[in-house]
Amino acid sequence: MNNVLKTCIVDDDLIYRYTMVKTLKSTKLPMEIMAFSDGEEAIDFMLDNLDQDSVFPDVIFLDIDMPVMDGFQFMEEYVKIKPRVGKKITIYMVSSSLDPIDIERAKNISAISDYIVKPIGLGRLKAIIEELLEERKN
Amino acid sequence: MSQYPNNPEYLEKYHQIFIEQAPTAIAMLDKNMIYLAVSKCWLKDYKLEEQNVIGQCHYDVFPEIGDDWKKDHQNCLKGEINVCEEAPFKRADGSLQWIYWDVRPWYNTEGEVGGLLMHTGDITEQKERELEKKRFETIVSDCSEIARIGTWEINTHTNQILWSDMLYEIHDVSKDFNPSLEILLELIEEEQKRDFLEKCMLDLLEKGIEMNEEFKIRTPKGNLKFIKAIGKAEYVEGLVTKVFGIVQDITAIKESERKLSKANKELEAIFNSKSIAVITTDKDGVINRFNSGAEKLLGYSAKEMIGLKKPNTYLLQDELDKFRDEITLKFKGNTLDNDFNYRNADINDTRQWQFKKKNGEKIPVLATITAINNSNSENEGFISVATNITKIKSIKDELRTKNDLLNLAERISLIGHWKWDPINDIGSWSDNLYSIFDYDKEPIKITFKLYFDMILDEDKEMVLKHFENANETKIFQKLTHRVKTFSGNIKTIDILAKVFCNEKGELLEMIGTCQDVTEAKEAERKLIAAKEDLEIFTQKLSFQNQQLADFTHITSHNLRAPVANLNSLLEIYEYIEDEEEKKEIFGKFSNVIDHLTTTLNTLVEALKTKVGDASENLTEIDLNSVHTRTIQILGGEILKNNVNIKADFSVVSNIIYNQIYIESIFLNLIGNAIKYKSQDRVPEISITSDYAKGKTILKFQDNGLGIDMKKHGHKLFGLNKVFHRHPDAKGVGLFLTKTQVEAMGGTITANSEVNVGTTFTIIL
Repeated sequence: MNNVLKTCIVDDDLIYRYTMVKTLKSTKLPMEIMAFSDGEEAIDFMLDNLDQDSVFPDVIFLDIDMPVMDGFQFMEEYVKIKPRVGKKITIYMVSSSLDPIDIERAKNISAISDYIVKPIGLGRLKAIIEELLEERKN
Repeated sequence: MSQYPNNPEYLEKYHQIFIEQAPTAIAMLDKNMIYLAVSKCWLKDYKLEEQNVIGQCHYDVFPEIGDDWKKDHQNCLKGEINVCEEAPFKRADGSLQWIYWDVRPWYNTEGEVGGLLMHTGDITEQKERELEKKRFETIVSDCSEIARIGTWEINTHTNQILWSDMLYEIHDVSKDFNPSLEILLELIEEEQKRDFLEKCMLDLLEKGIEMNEEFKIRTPKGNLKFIKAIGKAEYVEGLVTKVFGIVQDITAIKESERKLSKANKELEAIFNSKSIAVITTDKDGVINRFNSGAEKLLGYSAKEMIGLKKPNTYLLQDELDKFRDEITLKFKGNTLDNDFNYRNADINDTRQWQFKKKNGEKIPVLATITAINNSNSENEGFISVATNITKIKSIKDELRTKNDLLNLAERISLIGHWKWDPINDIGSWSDNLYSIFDYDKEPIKITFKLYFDMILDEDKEMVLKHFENANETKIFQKLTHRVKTFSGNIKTIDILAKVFCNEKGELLEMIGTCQDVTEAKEAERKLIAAKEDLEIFTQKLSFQNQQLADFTHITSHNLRAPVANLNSLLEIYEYIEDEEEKKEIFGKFSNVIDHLTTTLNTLVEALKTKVGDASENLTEIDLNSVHTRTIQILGGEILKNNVNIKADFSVVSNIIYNQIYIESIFLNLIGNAIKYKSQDRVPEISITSDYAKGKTILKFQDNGLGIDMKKHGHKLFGLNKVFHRHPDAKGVGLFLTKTQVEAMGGTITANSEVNVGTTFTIIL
């Protein structure tokens, strides 16, 4: 399992989720993909599995604009449970928004690795996954 | 009788001898008033020693005898007796003799009247003594009156006190007052003095010890008087037989004594003052008094000066010459009187001098020089009272400088100052105040009316109230009003003042400033106008900014998202080769494009609302009919969900609004309430209208799912924001509703509790 990257997509947009899955799969890299349609579903999953963090994702592509619990609200909840999570999780904030307020806000959250503007594109996505897989080897 | 034979001849002789040598003045006359016999005393009394009157007619001897007396004589010859105790007898030589007489007829042996017997006496001396005594008594009485002295006497048998008139007056009592020692003792003001008087009176009455004391009495009328009481006694064989005395009212004397003593003390205080120099000179001009103030002022000791020096020791010669010349000119005038000596003039001169101190230093002094002249207008010296005015002078100089500065400051700051005495209605203005009021002629009499007439009519009442208020509270708050100046300019002035009162709190004076703030006011007005413009502009700008931000957000999230999806799909479409997959992706394209179209349509609608003029399509709208139409549109949903809708527009039923907007608002809010109903209870929706602060308020209340306002409040009205995993949630309704409400200048807010319900409040 060590060489498989658990990749998580949190987004309410069906089309986006579809394209992400398609693109990730096209890289043929070793990974396991899970998807949630809003922040609350994702955080509920984590809370349910706190005792077995092996099922936790290694990387999360987190959308900002979602119903029920948006990306920022998810981050607030995540920061609360983070000390109890034994695993390192890399989180990318992904949004179609070019709004500087959103970008600035995301950059101020230390648990967020980067802010990526949609669409991510195959090349960028591949590079991110490869880099993460490389990190895991070391 | 044997040795005197009863011989008529003898008898006549004896009779003659008897008459001649009688020790009083006797004359015997016959019926024709011819002297038969006369005593030597008669001759002596009437200075007739040189004359032989026997055989002469009485009227020849006394030609001065008038007809009245002659008539009396005639009556006596008929038998009457004429007795007079005293009568003036004006003699022919002009002297006046006081005489008494007894004129009666004498009878011969036959019993007939033979003539007259006259017995007279010269009582001139006695009479003069009497008159003198009378005169003396009058003088004493007058003196008593003037000196307010009364006499008293005590009857030693009855102890009754007798008073002269003056004593009643001194004691302020009427004549029927019955003085007794007890009553008099009570009049004495000081307690211990009463016992003292009682003792004095006892001593006087029993031992005859004289009394001479002063007492303070309070008369029955309440007047306080000082009296001097003197008592004396007369005794016979060591026993007191008569007690008498005088009482003098010495109130006036005491009062002048007191005043004199006070004046003396005051003078002494002045003379002993260290701050005032008092120097006097004698008739030769030599200093004879030099007080400690003078010592301090000039640095000389009194010992060095008195009896030795003249004032020219400390006076400057040129000032002294000038003084002499001026005084000479003043009193002598232009007459050429070589004997004129200015020293004898009635000098009382106050002027500034320069005194030379012992150490040579010169100091400014204000001195009053008064000549002390005797009753013959001859000079007996001078008295000079001087004060050092160095400090006053320097303060005056400083004051002058400060006043100059003040004038300058007033000119620069357009301030003037004023004073007003409301009791006499006299005011004064500073130079600059005159110029603020555009007045450049001679100063005029300043009255309240003069000022009040300048005030613009619209401001008059306000100013009057302000002054009344200042009068009541003794505080003059800042007052701003407009005036029409003497040259007709309208100016705005600020008035500040202090109010001065006497100890009774009555207004005595107001002192204040007056500033011309016309330009400042104008600038202020422009500034306020500019600020108001700016505020409106800022409001517009911020509204536009808000709109812009809204659209940035919308384009970022709602337009870019489908575009990003299209790009991603296109990318995948290009690298996949499987035809089935390509078909699947193509179907996704169609989904995205549908979504994009919907979003664009919503935006266009919102833009129309924002850009268009909402106030253009205003009509009067009946809320009940809007409600009814909405129920009709949503009829299926309402029936299906068994919704209970209540509407109450009794407070406000008709509004002026955009018809399309209000229908859209009703449809969206009622639709939402049904859409987000709770599964646990029958949906209840209540719609009410209200009115507050001039605005109509609409409330839409439901008992639905509710929204977590903490989490979602900030994006409740955003486009495409959904808060429930509801298949129909699109995030468009509230966005449009808010856009429409705001376009009409209103606001929409929400209150909600999860699983209880939501209330939307719209202020139209």
